[in-house]
Amino acid sequence: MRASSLSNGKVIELLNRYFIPVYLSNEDFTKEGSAPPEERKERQRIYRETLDAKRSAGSVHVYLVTPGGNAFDSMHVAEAYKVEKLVPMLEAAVKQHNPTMGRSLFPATAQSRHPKTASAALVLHLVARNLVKVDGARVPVRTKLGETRSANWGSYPSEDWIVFSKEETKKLLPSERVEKGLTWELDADLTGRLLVHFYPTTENNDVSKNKIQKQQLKAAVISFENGVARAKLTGHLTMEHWFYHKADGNTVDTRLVGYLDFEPASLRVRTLRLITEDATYNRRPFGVAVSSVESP
Amino acid sequence: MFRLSVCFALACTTPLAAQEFDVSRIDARVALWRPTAEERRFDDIGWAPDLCTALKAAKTHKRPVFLFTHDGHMQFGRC
Repeated sequence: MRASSLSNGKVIELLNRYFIPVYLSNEDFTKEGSAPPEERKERQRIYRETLDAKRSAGSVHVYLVTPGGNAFDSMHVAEAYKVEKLVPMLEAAVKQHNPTMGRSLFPATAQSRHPKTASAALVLHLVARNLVKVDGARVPVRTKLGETRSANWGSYPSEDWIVFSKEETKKLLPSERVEKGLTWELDADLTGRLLVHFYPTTENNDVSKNKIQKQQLKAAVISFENGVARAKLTGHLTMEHWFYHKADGNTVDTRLVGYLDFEPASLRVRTLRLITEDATYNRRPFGVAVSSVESP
Repeated sequence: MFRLSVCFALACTTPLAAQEFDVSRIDARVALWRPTAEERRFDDIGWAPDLCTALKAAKTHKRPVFLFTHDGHMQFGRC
């Protein structure tokens, strides 16, 4: 839906001018989820009201709620992703409730944001993209978004934010005296927590289901100047990752390359960058790029 | 701009194994694969931070609420 109707100019204009748009992740509403009781109560109330009115209701759904708080229309995602279905639904709601046209009430800001962290934590931003071969080269898939036909897996990249605490970050660094030529293997448990996110857009995003079969990430110091060491990173990953939520034997296979700039004296990581090389998922090309990001 | 394009072209086309270790190539690929503004059109919507805030704002400003519930995390493209 994000690739199609929620990237469509007309839908965006209608939502910003006449509605209060909000999205909820069902994961936050499980028993272990982070949603507060009041949110749970309201979500459940809207769901019940929709069911009682014998309208379409479900977990992946659009609900329209009156300014007074009562559910009055709904649409399953299998319809709502279609621009030609969602626009008339929104226009009918505008006609029915005649809201005052105005600007968006909440600022339009990046929804994928740097997480709030303790100081000195290492924050890594990961982007995973589907690739396509053009003239022998692998280039990103660039789909025109905002159309009904845009709704395909991998039509836009996936992102993850991975945080290592200050103490954890030290495990990435060598315990020996740093000099050019020093080599070591990065802590496998820690790098495993990063590598489980190395998969393209799929319906299954439960990384606890990913099974790393082979992993290695080695570092070699290639320069050490003015108190800053640069280490070249090389490695590989083989990991089972199911496309849907049941076993399908699909695996990620990739070589890894990158670099790590760090201060041996303070055990501080300045920069970490890591990319995949010739990565495949179920034999199809994709790519991942990871970069450390400073706190805003 | 021309230099950047050359850098991107290299990032796309040259296998690493065939090159010397090249930090600028890694940097170029990180930049090239970052989500574009077009891929983040979804961010042009002024989303309310949560349902209770949305319902409160709807009442105050007499606007209907558009609620989308989904599996995964749409904001990260993991859904």
